[in-house]
Amino acid sequence: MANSYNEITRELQEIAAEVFAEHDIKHLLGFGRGEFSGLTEPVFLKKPEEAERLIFQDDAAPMLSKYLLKYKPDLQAVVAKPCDSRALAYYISEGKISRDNLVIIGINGCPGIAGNTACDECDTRNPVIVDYTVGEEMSQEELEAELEGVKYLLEDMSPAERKEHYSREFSRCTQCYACRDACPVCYCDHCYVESNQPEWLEEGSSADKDMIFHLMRTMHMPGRCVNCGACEMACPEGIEMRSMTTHLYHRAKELYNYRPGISPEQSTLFSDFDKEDSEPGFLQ
Amino acid sequence: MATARKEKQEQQKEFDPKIIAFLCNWCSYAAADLAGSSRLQYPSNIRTIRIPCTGRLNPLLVIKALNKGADGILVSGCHPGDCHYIDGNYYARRRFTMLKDLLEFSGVEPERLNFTWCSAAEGRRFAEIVRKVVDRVESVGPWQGFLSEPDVVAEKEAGEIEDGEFL
Repeated sequence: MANSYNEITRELQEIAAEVFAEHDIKHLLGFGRGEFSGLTEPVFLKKPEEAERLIFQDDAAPMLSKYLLKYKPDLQAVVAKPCDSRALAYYISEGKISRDNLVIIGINGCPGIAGNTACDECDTRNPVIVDYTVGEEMSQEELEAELEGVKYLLEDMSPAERKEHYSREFSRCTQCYACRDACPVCYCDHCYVESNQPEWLEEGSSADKDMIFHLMRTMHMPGRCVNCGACEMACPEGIEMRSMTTHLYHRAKELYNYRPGISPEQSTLFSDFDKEDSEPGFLQ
Repeated sequence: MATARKEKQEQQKEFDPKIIAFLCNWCSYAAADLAGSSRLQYPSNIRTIRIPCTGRLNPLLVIKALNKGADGILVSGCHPGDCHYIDGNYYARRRFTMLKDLLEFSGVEPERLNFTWCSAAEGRRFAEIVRKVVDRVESVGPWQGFLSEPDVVAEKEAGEIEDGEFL
């Protein structure tokens, strides 16, 4: 069963004090109440006395893993939702950050984030790599029971309907790149959208350029997307864009039995191959 | 008025698909060469782009080609196991499968996206493949763009007037 937010918050505060006592960390990254917004925001805790600032609420939407990359030579502690822990495992598998520099406080049986559609079809309710845990672990049977009959977004639509759906959705896109910035596994220093040699994305905004931006962004995602829904949560226009990455997430699972960030040792989807890979729809 | 007339003219014209063919230098480009030097006839709808290996094919190039008005795409490389760079086409295979899945999911007809293997000795097969690809693309008609409402795009670009349109 999923744990309650209050229970997790209480345990987090206890464990945070423990982590400060046992490790010489630079900071502990977790969720706290925003001073002005009143919302749940990422907070960096420097001292053990600050541990009581830690909370976990149903609006703890930001993905914390990306913040860690900025301070990666230092020992850092982080509160990780299961999806965050997968992003971290993915970083480690790519050699982006060292496991030795991380103290991970994982949230077992994550109760999910309000308004995030990805949480309804979440297949990872326990963190994959942890040093400390809070909450009770969710058993595989429970997870399977919850996922019973759950369909991923737009799975039932026909391609023509989806085309219309995306045309409508992406007509609202202003290319603010919030989806890219919020994504935990979208961390290149030099992004294709800002590149002008070659110029992947032309200047100016129009409906078809918005569509191109999203298609190209999605094409960077197979084998990386951990299906956390952060892109959609960050979008100021409320555009439904997760269905594209989610589709590729499920296809990679079907075709190659590959799920990103499941283990720090696995290789990435595109840096590996099997000679017996299937060739769906190839010309013979 | 002028644009309406232009559109009508364009519709009347027979559909002559434009297909961008990304051919790998070591096998498929040589196959195209062989087809040419063997005097084999095949439709002239393909525009060849020579790439060092299918593994070099950035998926974004395919999206870009479609965006720039290509009606179809053909990517051809060495047969699995025969890659000049040992395993470039194995990587390409995964990448292209994912790209194909994404584009088909978002409404691009599968007939437009063609991926195949063609060795340097298969000139005849190359001509056949091109014929097949042209048939496939012709069966789905001209490419209308990634969006289902071309009006949305037309409206935003209405500011640009072509030279001589008022004359």
